[in-house]
Amino acid sequence: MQRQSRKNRLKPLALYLHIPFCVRKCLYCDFLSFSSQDAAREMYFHALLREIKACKSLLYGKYVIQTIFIGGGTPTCLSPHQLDVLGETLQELSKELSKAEPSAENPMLIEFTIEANPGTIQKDHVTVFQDRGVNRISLGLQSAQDQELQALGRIHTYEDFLKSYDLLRSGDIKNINVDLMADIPLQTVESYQDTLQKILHLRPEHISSYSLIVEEGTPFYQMQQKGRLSIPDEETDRRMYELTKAMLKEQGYDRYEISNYAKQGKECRHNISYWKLQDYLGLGLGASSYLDGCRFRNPDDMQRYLHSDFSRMAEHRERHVLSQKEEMEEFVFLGLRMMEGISLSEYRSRFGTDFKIQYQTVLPEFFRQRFLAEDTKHGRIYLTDRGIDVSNRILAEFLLEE
Amino acid sequence: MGKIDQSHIRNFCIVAHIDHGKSTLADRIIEKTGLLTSREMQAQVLDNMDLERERGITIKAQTVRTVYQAKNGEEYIFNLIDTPGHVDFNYEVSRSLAACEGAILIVDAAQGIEAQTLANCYLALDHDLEIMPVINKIDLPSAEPERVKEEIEDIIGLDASDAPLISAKMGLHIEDVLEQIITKIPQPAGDEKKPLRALIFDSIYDAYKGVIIFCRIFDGSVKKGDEIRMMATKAVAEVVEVGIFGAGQYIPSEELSAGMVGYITASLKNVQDTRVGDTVTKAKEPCREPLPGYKKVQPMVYCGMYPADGAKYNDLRDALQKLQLNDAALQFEAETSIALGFGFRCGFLGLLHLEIIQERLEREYNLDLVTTAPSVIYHVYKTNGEMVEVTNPSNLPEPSEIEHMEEPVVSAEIMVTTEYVGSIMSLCQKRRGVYLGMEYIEETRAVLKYDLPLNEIIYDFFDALKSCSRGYASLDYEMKNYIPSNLVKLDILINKEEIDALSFILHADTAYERGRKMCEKLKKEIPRQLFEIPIQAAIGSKIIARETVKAMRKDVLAKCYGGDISRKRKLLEKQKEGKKRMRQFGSVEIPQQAFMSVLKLDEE
Repeated sequence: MQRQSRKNRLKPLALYLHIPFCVRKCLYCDFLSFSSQDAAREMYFHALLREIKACKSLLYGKYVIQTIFIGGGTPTCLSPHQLDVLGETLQELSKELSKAEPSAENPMLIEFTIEANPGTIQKDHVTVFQDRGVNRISLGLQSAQDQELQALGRIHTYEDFLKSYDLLRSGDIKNINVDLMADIPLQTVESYQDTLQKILHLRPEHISSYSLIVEEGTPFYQMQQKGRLSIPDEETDRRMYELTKAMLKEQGYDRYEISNYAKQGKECRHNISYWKLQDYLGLGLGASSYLDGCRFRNPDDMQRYLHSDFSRMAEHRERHVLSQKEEMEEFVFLGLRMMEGISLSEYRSRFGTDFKIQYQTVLPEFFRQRFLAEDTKHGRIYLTDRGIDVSNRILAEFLLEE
Repeated sequence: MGKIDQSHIRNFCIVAHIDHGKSTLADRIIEKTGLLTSREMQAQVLDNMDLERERGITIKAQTVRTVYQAKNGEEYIFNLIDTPGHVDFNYEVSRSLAACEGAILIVDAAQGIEAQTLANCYLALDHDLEIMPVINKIDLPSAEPERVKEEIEDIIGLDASDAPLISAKMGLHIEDVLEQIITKIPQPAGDEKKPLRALIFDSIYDAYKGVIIFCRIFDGSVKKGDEIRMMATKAVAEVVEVGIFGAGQYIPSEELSAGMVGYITASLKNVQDTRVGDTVTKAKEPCREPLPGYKKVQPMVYCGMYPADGAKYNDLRDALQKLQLNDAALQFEAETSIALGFGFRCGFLGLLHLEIIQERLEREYNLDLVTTAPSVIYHVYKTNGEMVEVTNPSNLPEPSEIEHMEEPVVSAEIMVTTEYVGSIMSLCQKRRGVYLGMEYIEETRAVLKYDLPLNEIIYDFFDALKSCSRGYASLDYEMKNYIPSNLVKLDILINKEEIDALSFILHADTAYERGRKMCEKLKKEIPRQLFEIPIQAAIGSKIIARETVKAMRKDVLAKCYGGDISRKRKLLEKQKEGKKRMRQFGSVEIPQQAFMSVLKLDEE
């Protein structure tokens, strides 16, 4: 027991950096991103450096960085030089933090992901990735059909993607994720199948496939309101979804989360932290954090962000300490997104109550209808295939009454 | 205040078709008689409920007393009695008319005579009122005052040669109206020496004063301290205060005497005791005969009202009780539905009355309601010779016990321009109307006369009428009689379970179509759930229509972006919240909206 607690003195941290820039915003996108001028990116880059440096005192002695994820927007909108400096600063931070408790057992930085869009990756970017320990690239492809890409408002073609992919592989990037989308305009089951086949042929380590969700405030939403957005019907979407499961499984990809598939050992550790309700710190415009049971969020307003006094950020941010109830709910509705589900013993040790007792009003019905199943050997509860299909309905039931 | 000679009192009302400018003229009369300064004028002084203003109609009759300085130098008291403007409130209209000696008939200079113009005018004539025609809206480009004058003379047979041509909106020629009131409308002719005889034409409940009786004194007088008796309800009470009506305020006075219009308060707690049409007299010195024409208004339309949140049952009861203080026509009694839990079966004068009460409950009392399909009163003759009145389909006896059933029929007059006669006739035919005849009012307009089953017009007849006449048709109806009818009870089964709140009684010939439409509509309203849900319409054990809500096959949340969990939480909360607005039936969830929407089926 003693050894255990010593080993875990430094908690693993997932660090997220947000780059809110894109060449052009896609028609379905409701993330915090926009197109920009060089000067604006430069200002943002400097503010981000200040924020990284400022967070050291917040983390030192408590955390060690386990994963880094630079997402967006399009992080590769930043120049190779900017990314280089960013990477260097992050490497230093990681090193500094692990000095607090040097030990072989302390998890060092094991995963460093950068999101990239085809058409924005330059050869120099790849050199920077190599130099700064970036060991995973997430490529937003969405579709291998140019007309579908165009309909989404993407800036690249499939050919652009192939070039980027080759560039990364030749730069010795051994872990690549490809993002795909189903249920998008112009798509058919056949064209989606073709996209999957093309990607499988490239053998990326990780594939994500999401169905399009038309979010309020996007051009797609407006088009839909006016009846001018034509997307495949639900049956078609359903078939694409089944196709994804079947084809990826056949090719040796393990579905470890509702929309995420990976070769063994290539699961995205960073995202798993979110789903396991582990601590993460988000830096950059509008980034969310969850540290020590407390959620907070950076400002969404660029001017406010740029002029933030990051050394005093902790005092200014709106903080929301999760109640036990909220923490329980989130542990469950995030945890159940993973195929392995949630651990009953972990639930008990975390909250001091028994999961099955806590949710006794909903569990029997879900078991009876085979939406949930129990892995008695490992003491875990997980969503069945049937349950995953309608996971929203199921997960909503795990919100507790006031 | 000195006593006013009856020769200087004029009691009158204004009758008009809806929107022909009744309230606007009332405002002008009040303004010109100087009771209020322009600054004090609200846009429409007589309509003081928010709801009324929004709907542009007057619900509860109110009255106002003004003082007019005539051109002959004398002061006259004008009692202007406002009348409700909808067919649901016909009886209240008739009592208001009975309180007057005369009526101003407003006719729109552009639209001419409409159905309610005629109906109200005939009603006024029935009460022997002196009718004084006024042509309004002469400022409109499309105004044809001369044509309208002719129309009044031809159709109603009134002399309209010196009818004032006015624009109430612009305040044009209002003086002509005021002067004519003096010359044309007769003075009251009561006898102050006789025992008290006063007509209740309205009564309202006031939190401070208790029940306030609005009355017209025909004979005798009444003052504070008198013991009065309502002759029909037999309620007895001591007078606390008498007075007259300022615009929007009560002005106490010494006494009310023959010819006058005013109010009496007598610490009564419920308007059920002071029914419109009843006669007030003195307990110790009663009049021999009550004033003619009293009838207890009976609801014609019933529906179930249930709180969306079962815990609000008591709140709903309290709210209904409060509304009833002011609305003797509203009836309710507790009932239970398997589907909706505890609620009330409520009786209304008509669909508009129902809608008004429903809106007030929701708006003023903040109640979320689920309302069942409105029903008329069916007479069910049982094989054992007994007759039962059924207002709730669930209470219909077993088919084997029913000898036959009867349904209420109204005689309806629909006024419409001739181009829409065809479509109105086919509508009435579809609604099982019996054609009685058609009269041309003029070349382009006609009155269609039909007998219509009441249950065919309480759902959506007004909407249907409007849509097949581009809003030009107007309807007036009154209860006629009960006739034997081939009626059946249509049940709706969701997931094989009968939902009692959706059952209703209808004519056998229309059951198939209605059943099919109900199923289609419910299919649209019930969100897909984790399993397939059959929706069936049945008569007895026979299924006559079926739809299926397919099982929800996929509902997966997409990308979880950068750890923004609160966004995901909101989505799930929204999902859960949506579920709360549903009613649980076994394992099926039905949105409350579904109960309401099936009431309006003919919207295609």
